[in-house]
Amino acid sequence: MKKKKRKKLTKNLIFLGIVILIYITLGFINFNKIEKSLLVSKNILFMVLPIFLIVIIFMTLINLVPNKIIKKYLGRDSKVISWLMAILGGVFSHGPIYAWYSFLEEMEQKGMSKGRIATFLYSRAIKIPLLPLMVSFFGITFTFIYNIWLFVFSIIQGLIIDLIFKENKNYEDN
Amino acid sequence: MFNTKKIFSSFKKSFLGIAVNFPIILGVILLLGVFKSFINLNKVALYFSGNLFKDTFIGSFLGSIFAGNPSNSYIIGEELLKNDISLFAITSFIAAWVTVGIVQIPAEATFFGIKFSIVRNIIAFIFSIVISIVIVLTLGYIT
Repeated sequence: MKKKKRKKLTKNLIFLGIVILIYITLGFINFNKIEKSLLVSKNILFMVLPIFLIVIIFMTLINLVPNKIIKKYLGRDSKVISWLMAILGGVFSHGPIYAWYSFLEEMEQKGMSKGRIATFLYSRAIKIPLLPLMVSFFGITFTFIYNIWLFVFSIIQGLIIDLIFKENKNYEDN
Repeated sequence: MFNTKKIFSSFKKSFLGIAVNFPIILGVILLLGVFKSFINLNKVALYFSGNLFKDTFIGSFLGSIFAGNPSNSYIIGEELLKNDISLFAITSFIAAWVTVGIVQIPAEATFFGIKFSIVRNIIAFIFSIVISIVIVLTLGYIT
């Protein structure tokens, strides 16, 4: 394992250690709720595990794509289509967002701009499978307007993030 | 046609990437578990005051700290609507629920940097308020 990855793993394990400490502390305060928390977490974990398989497949495919292509189509200087690609990625990425962080990190290392990452993350708010449910709760007009504005604001957020994070990295071509 | 060696090496790299990041994902999942068992989502309506501006802010704030399936935010949103909470507050609540993630910030920061995760979440928080205004105004204009 590379030194950079080992350092990251140590940092991640420290975070997990802190969370476990929180569990132990709260366990002394209210054991029943911590027991319930573990059960809830177990259910979430089993729900997320299959998504990791999809993410690994996506990451494997992305690793095969040369960096210059990612940079061309999803980099800072890429065209309008890149925003649409980021939005489509966000809309169709199933499951919780944290399952997709590794994929997006990989994309960033290959040249995807931070703005497109922000757009991807924001556009995940557009939940196509939940549209019928939203319509039943708030009506078709509200649902339609809500999702159109989410679409618009996901691009605005990406543009703002790209303005804030101006630095240009030199990506190695594979 | 297919370079098997390259595909295997790419798969190995991807698997290792997930494995390295797994502790942080597990940490977030455990935090979500604590959150879901310690916070009573059924009592959300009690946090709202009836003041339009304050409620819109509270809606965004609650939506930012709550996490989980977005369908829960719709269910709570409908309950709030029945309790005569303003549509501004409800919209900001459901928008913040899916666009801001305070529980996920540590994980997001590990992947994309602390500056990015904080800036992104602050912008998303502000946008949840702005979007509620824009949506309600658009609704008013159309209907």
